[in-house]
Amino acid sequence: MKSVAKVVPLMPVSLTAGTLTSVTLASATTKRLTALSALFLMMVLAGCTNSLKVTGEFPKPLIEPIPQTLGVLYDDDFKTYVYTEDNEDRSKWVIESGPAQVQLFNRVLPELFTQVQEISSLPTPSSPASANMVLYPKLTDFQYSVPRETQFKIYEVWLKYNLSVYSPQGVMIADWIVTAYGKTPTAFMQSDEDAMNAAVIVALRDLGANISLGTRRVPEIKAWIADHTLTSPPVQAQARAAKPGQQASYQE
Amino acid sequence: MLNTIYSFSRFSNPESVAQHCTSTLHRSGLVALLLMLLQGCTSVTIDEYHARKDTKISEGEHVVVLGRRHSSSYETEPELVDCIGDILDDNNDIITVIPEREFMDALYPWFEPRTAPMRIKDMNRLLARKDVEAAINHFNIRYIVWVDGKTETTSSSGSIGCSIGAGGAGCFGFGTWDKESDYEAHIWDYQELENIGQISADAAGTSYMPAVVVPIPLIAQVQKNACKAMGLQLRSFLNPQSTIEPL
Repeated sequence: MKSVAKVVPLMPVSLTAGTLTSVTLASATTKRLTALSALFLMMVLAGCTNSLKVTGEFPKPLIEPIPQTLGVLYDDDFKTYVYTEDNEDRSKWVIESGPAQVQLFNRVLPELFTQVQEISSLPTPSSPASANMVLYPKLTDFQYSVPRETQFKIYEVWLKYNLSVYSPQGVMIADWIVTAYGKTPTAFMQSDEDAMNAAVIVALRDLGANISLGTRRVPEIKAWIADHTLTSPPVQAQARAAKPGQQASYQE
Repeated sequence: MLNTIYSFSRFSNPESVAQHCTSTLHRSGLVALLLMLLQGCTSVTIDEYHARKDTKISEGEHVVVLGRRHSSSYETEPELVDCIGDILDDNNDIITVIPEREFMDALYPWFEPRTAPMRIKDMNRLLARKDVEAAINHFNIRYIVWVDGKTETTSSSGSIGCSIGAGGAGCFGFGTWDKESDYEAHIWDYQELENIGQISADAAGTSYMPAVVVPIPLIAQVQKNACKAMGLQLRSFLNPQSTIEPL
């Protein structure tokens, strides 16, 4: 079904009267109508850009923690990430997802590691980190599609992150890619912004699931944790001291 | 626009204009009200398959209705899943439904599109984790209902044109479109860890929108009727003592 909206030029009706008063009145009316038209035009033009700050809630993951302390570095690009669509052939979107992705990491990491603290810079041999490992996440790619582009009645979002983990002295332990995907169907009376927000939140939930379940499977992380858990005398002693049936704190 | 100009030239007396507008509004309101009572027709077909005959649910046991979201070209609508849960929960003292969001959040990340069990035997893998088993047991779940499907517009025709001007605005034309729903629910018995049956609901309907100054939508409630039929059939499936109400 096609719907055609037509804007008819506005004309002052009382302009046909010949007196000075009516001309003045007509002039005032014209100015008012012109101002209204300009306002309407501005509203229409503003409506061409979809602007969105991603908001939502994330649940705590139901996982057992990795027995390591973690420092996490969110740089300014990560914390304030804003995606701006600059392709002339696509509709204009400005999507601020930085705070939401920090919120997601802050929800997942404390459940994934025994202790998490935010740090302001990467460790170096001269200024080592107090945590066992340091995570430095970067968002490397953000893509989306909307129903009018795909002909499917869903909004889709793809996220690609580069996660780097460093030792307390700043030596890179592992560096891997994590992808996330989220989609949401169109719904009656739902705005484009609300639908896109829901798709980004689903993608971030997917990212949380991927990090929660996938981090300990990364071979380098797995090896590093095994090495450092086994060689750490206090933890070994604690494990030996654990009685049968009593779970030692470092065990999964 | 032309009609608006004509009206102004015909009624030079402001009182006449007011009277004419009032009576027109009354008549338009009455027609709109009558038309709102009419709805596009929807037909629903339900199929049911029982893998086991003795289905029952006891007081205190709960049901959770979850949407499948792994397909790349569509997504089972969250409002459809909520709607089925509401119908399953209503008007009976036996079946209590846990909201999908509450269940998924409590079990995060084990029932996400990426991680959700696709077959009943995949539940064994999940239940090997004691924390997951405890979280599901916390809800005292008896049945897990997985709903998969979508509602889509299959065809549309007609056109409606709208105009706006200083004198007013109006639309003229006629539009019509067809919608089809296709949903399937798989019912898992969590206590016995078996798939006990499935129900499918196919619904189709045509909506109309005539527009004479004001567009009047006569919407066929395709998804809503599919949801209601599915919900009532599920209620009868899980609690055979309950009777199926007409749609």
